[in-house]
Amino acid sequence: MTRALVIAAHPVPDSYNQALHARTVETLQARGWDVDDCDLYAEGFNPVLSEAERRGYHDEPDNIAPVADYVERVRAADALVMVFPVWNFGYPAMLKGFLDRVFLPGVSFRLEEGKVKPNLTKIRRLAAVTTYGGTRVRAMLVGDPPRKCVTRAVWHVCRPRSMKYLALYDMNRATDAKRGQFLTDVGDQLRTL
Amino acid sequence: MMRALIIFCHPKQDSFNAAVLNAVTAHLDAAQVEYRLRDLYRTNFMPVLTEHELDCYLDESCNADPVAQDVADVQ
Repeated sequence: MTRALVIAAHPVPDSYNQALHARTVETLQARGWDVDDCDLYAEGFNPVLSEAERRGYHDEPDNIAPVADYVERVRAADALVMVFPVWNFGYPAMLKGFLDRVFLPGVSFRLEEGKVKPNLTKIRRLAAVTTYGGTRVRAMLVGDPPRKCVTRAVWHVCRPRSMKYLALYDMNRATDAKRGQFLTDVGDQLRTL
Repeated sequence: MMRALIIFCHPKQDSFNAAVLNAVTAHLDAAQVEYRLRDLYRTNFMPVLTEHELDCYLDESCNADPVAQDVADVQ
């Protein structure tokens, strides 16, 4: 059975982003997948990489000790879906800190002669579900960093055979109809991830 | 007069990043530039945007309250 790790990062339970999170989990469960639903805010994840973690960063395998439970959940995953709002053209600190603390050498990548080699190749399917306040053009003008972080950096450590970046731009002006359509689209797209 | 705000973000005080910070402050001192230094790790800055902060995000009468000192530094 496919095991999916869903990582969500929005603080407001009744937000639109949390509706996308719920739709994501429902859709994957309806496919018969085993879904590990990881809501970083609800779990009270601490995203700050500490001095001790930085000093022990390259000391495998002890470097995973502070976040061992999360490392285990990542390692168990065949699919990874991240659901988050884009803030300041980047990941929320909560999600950035998760990647900083959990995507360690020996977990998501191996350093070979100073180069990053993929180490999460068990993950065969990768998706992001996200919302931007600004328009696609504004995001492009600053290089759309979160799109690249997912489709290049996270993609590189997983090398999935299927990847989808599902983004709703221009949330500041989105209508109910547009938001509703995107919810439907997310369900449709994740059914074929 | 030019005033600089330095935001520093690295957990190790003996890191390369800290050495770069020292070079920057030495340069500013030599040029007699007034600056403030905000060391996010040493002051335990909390980077997580909370539900409360997002609730009042668009309310300019109170949205800066949780980070008043930081806003004053930027301004």
